[in-house]
Amino acid sequence: MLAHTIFASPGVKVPLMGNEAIARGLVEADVRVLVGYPGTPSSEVIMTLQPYSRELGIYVEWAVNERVAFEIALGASITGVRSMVTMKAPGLNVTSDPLLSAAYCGVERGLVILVADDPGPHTTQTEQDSRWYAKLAKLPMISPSNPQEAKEFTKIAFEISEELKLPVILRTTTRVNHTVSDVVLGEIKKIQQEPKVPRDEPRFVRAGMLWNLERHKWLNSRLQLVEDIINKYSLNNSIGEGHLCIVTEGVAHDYVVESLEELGLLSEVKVIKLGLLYPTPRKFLLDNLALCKSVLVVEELDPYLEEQVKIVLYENGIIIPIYGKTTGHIPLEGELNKYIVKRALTSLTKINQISLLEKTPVSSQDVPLRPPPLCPGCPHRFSFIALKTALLKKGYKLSEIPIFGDIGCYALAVYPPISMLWTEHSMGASISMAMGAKIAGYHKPVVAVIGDSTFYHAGIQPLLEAVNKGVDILVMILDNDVVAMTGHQSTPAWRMSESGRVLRPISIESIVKALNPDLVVTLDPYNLDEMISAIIEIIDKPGVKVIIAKHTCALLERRRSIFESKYYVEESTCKGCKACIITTGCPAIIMENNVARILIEDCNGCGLCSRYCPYKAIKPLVKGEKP
Amino acid sequence: MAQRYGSVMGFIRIGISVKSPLFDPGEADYILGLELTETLRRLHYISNNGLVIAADEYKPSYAQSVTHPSLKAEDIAWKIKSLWPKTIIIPARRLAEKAGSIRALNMVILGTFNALSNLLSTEGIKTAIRKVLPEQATLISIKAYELGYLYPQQAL
Repeated sequence: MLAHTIFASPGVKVPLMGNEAIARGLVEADVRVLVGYPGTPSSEVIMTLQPYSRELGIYVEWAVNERVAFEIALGASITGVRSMVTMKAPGLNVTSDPLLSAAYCGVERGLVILVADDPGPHTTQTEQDSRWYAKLAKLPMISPSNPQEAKEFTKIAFEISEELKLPVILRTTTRVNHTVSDVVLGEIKKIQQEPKVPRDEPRFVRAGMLWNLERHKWLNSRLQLVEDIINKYSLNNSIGEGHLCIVTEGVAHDYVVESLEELGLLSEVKVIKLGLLYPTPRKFLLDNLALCKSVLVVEELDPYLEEQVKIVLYENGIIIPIYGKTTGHIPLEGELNKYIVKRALTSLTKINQISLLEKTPVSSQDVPLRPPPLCPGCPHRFSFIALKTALLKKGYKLSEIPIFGDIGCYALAVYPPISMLWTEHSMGASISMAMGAKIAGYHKPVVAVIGDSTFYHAGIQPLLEAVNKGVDILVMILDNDVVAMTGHQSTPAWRMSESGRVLRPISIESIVKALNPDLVVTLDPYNLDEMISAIIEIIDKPGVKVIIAKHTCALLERRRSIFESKYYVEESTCKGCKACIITTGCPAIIMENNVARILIEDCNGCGLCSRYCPYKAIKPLVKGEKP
Repeated sequence: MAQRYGSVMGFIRIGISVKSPLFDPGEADYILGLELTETLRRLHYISNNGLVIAADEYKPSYAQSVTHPSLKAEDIAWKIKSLWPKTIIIPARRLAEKAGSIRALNMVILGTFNALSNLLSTEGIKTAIRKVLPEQATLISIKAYELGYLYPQQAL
């Protein structure tokens, strides 16, 4: 977002991405501490405000992981300043331990947890429904439908948090975080925030079991107040009247309204939109459902609202049909769209289905998939090719050496032609799962690969465990000096953060050496032969061997204009054997008309392809020249 | 959704009342394709009266390069046109390079789109380009937009 939007006057209408709208909401709410860990689709909230950290007087930084980020925000909130922590859904799993305790101590100034779920899923390992966490942690949760609401709900979340003295979860989904639409800006209000750490042991010390019991009672009593407190914010609303009532929330609400408009059903159906997801707004639901003959619940991910509706109706002796995910009207997996909503609506009303569902003049075409590959010049490509070559040279079959992977770009090595990843599970799991395979008795070498940011985030303890217990594993830390996959965020190895804060760099090598494994080597994977020799030499050695394969992300180097040359294919020499493509899988090389071609604007000049051309048809191109 | 070198589709809706951020297959008034195979992949989004405007760029995926190495840009362009005759293929790379950078290819498409749809004011687009891009990129982008804008007049 541009500076003029961050500081623009109230009333101005600007197009904002949902995450930018949340960022502007934070400015309007005078938030002082904003921390998180990068994760799609949540990252842009922090990225938006980082350049303005000093001007706004906000601490905006990435933390080493979500749990640490949450605890920083909790500490700040208890000390009397408004704080937000941002994360993608799996980050809430990492945060769950301090999250549950935070419901018992509560907060002083507002604390809002932004968690971005990912129906689809587009970029997440599971279709996690974080709404259950509100119920589990007993914390209020609100959910916006679009960028404008995202901004408003951010501010409301702080108000609710301070009224209740509880952390509030602001829950979004990909289509809310990443949709861009017009947002009317609000007033930027400065509020008095005096740092003061309250001392209150029964409240903040969870070692006293009687205190914990009392705090649990306190928490339950706070939850009783929520529905009345939120009334003034109009988080929940309903439109229309009819025998069929639709209960919905988030972006699904917008699919519902537009589908009803297009079907001409808007005047016959009642739409009940919930902004408050937990605790269930019982009174509101009951008031609005009292005259309904049947209910359709339209929501993404799990049948969460569906269960809440059933509970509320059952408790009040209302037995009417409730349609949704349980009845198969709405699918249990994948994200929603208008088509799915219309299909459900037509099956519950008397509308001719064929006319509205079959309207595509061109049928869907069978085009080969294009999963995101490792980028041109990616140092991880060198690391994986080195590993593959070393294993083969050592006489191993690739099918007998398991490679436990981790979360980050390097996991794209799972796709052909690299095909060098057996698992990608959760942050940090590579090393511990490799250890598990070894202690289970697997007699061949096992390998763990983990990226630099993932290592900082959750890989240090697994390595400590492996060294401590003494297992035979090869750990490759693929260090490209950045959180690359989520858009190039800083790591603890940086000297200065995006907000301009001077950092004390903490090198991976120093951490690994402190853990004292049997062997540590740091290599540049661009020196492919050296990498291959090193792996051949150490793969069979006993103990924990760590290779730190260190080379900056090729896209960062490109931005810093480090590459001197690019490569091109001499068309008259190319025999169309595809060796360059089949070996590297580099997306800058394509086959067209039976010859290989390098897309000059995509080539990052690593030269790996030229090494594997049997006809020496791939040649360097001096900067400024044309092929 | 940014996925480097992956398949990316964005939905853009312009109107008085827009609620759903997505629309369904068969509803697109325009498809603006920056690459031919990706245009083909999303062709079922076109509506009955829709227009496809695509760059003549051919960047096949790894799978396509390996399984169909003989294919070329014209083959995919022909396939798209045979499925949907209301298609304009623009020599976008040539025009973008003429403007100063292949990276301005998207501005060429935008220019052609606006010349044919007349949906946006050219001044508004230029102001937006100046707002979001650095100086050098601004000049190239505006040039590319203009070349794209003039293309249909010259070609048709």
